Amino acid sequence: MVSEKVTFPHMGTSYIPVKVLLESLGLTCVVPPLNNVRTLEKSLVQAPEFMCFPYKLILGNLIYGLDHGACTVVFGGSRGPCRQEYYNDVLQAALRDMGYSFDYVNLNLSKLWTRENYEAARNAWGVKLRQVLKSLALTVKVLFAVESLYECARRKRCRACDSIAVEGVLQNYVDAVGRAHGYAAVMGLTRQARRDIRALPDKVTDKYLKVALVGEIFVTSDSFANLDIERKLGGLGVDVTTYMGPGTWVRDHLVRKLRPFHKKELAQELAWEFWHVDDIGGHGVQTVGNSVLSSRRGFDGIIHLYPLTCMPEIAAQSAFNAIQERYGVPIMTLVVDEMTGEAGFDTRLEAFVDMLASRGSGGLCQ
Amino acid sequence: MADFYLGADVGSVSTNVVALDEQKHLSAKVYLRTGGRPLVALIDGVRAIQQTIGPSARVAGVGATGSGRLLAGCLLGADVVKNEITAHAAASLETEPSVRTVLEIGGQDSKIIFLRQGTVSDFAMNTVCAAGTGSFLDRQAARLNVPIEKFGQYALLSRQPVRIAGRCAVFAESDMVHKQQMGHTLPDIIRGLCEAIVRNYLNNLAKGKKIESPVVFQGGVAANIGIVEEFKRQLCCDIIVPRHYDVMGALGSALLAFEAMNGKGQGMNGKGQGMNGKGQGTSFVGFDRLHRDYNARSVECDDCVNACEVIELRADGKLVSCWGDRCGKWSVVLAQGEEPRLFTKPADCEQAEPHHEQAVESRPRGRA
Repeated sequence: MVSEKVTFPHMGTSYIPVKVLLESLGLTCVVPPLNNVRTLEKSLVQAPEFMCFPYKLILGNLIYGLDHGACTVVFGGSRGPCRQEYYNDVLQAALRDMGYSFDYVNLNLSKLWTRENYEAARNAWGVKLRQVLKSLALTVKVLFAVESLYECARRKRCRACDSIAVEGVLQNYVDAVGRAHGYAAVMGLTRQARRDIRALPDKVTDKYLKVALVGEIFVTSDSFANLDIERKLGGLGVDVTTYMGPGTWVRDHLVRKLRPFHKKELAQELAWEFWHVDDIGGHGVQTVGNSVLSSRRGFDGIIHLYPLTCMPEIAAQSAFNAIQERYGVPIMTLVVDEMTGEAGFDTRLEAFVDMLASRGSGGLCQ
Repeated sequence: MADFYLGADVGSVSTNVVALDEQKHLSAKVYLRTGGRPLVALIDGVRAIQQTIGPSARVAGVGATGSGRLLAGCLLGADVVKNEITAHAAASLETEPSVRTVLEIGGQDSKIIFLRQGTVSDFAMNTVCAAGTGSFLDRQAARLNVPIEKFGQYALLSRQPVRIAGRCAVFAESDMVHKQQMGHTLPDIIRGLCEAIVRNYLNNLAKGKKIESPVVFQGGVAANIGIVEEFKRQLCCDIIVPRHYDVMGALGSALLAFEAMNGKGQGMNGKGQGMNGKGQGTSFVGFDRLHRDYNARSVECDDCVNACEVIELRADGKLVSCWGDRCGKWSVVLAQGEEPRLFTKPADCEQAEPHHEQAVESRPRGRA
């Protein structure tokens, strides 16, 4: 039986449901602070330069957790032709080379609902199947509640009289949820925050631009990794839609896998128009498919995000010229990593939004 | 008394200021080296403009652009603070109304802008690398001991250009050093460099997008005849270099200010709106108030994990503006007229305070 004091890496807001899951299994969590510049302090020294940005953040989180008393690392690896498949082994090796000793519990996130994962948890902590099933059900509920809260914030930012008020509610929520324990408390806070955001007064105008975020799942869902793109776009009066996040993952790898028949994802089907493959690794096909979907749904623009050196997304980028020509919706690609300059990033966002606004109204100044 | 519209473009390498008259004609322009001191360059630039247009000239609108646009906006009291893409597009459209493609190479970034029916239809900007931009050329000119103004003319003397690796500025330099040591002539190397820059630009920015003429080439690098010729050769079309190619950003922001102040600024998004709203006079601070003593510094906020670097701008010791906070709370406090707590802390105690948060530990709920 391994230690009950566990740590795990961040990916956007996934820490909220993950904490509920681990705590309801009777474990103590050392939650690293949300990703920030200090997360990278120690990991950048260790990580190879052209390793992807998510890896550097994940490593930084785990270093923090182990430095602050955790004895077990819980990591969700996946199977699929992208480097992330090896992170499971590479992270373990890197941390042991740094002199940490710890237990490691690896969950296979490609198939959330498998005997393998249950056995990993049972061997580690001796948890019972009934307990796992119950915790999992509660976790999924929290996950979708959190997703719905952030979805609500994305809708509200461009519509609220005071978009900073939305940030205030979210900041208070993040502070409170960091201190809360257990399903009931977390769920209560999440619902309350959602109600608070919905209650904020709206502007009278209903003119706003609609932009879709597509790309690599980690950077599109982690606000530090994507330099808070949702907030920045919201502040520029843009209604942001994102396709990628922990919720997408769970829907694809748990909910859909429970269905008795297998059907292609919508994004995969739509991508077929430009690419005759079902998978090129990571979420490359989904990026192409979601771009097509957004173009068809009448979005004003699409922003493609990926961490530097992400192979599947580089491949996906090659389809954009054809998609733009076919549907006429502009797509801007932004590449992020720890070297990204915020000023340049903001300039590109601002210029993109300006362009969308002027396309809509037919003139730079009109 | 004549009305003038000022435009300021505070970039990484140069700071440009222009003044437009009421007919949108350029009546004064200044091109200065930023030299790492944007505040000084901007104030010098505006003063030089004031001397040209006369002390009694009335300023009816101010626009700011460039990477230092926020700073310039605060300092001058700009009516329009706009990004470079929009400013450059506005200036191109004014000088060449039929333009379809704008190539712009600035100090540290390069852009390509596609225009259709008088509006930006697509653009691209270098994302992860700045090889082949103005500062790189500057550096190479200094290293080869060739004045930057004559750099392009050297390229035209070449008969047999050398192939230079253009992907990374540092490796391009190593490659050039190597080619010099091999005994290639200076013109051949400079022409090779121009080729590499254009190749790099077209491969990384245009990326297979259709470049349709008329093509306008602007930005400081357009002064380099070697690059212009190379664009002509590789694109197989004529390249228009506008008369005021070096101050197009500033010109564009002055035009945007003109439009905003004359009531055509509707529909612009976010920060595009005149800071003081429409229908009122300019929010320009006035030439005499530029003589204040300015100070800018950054403070790391430790209120939450974001650890934003907040920039404060002081004029004569009084806080006039701050930006850079993700949550916006310091900017809000400032708007209410108080000196925010963040900036009243003495500067040295920040370093002394350890920044590490306590571990967020949670209690277990029940045992397995």
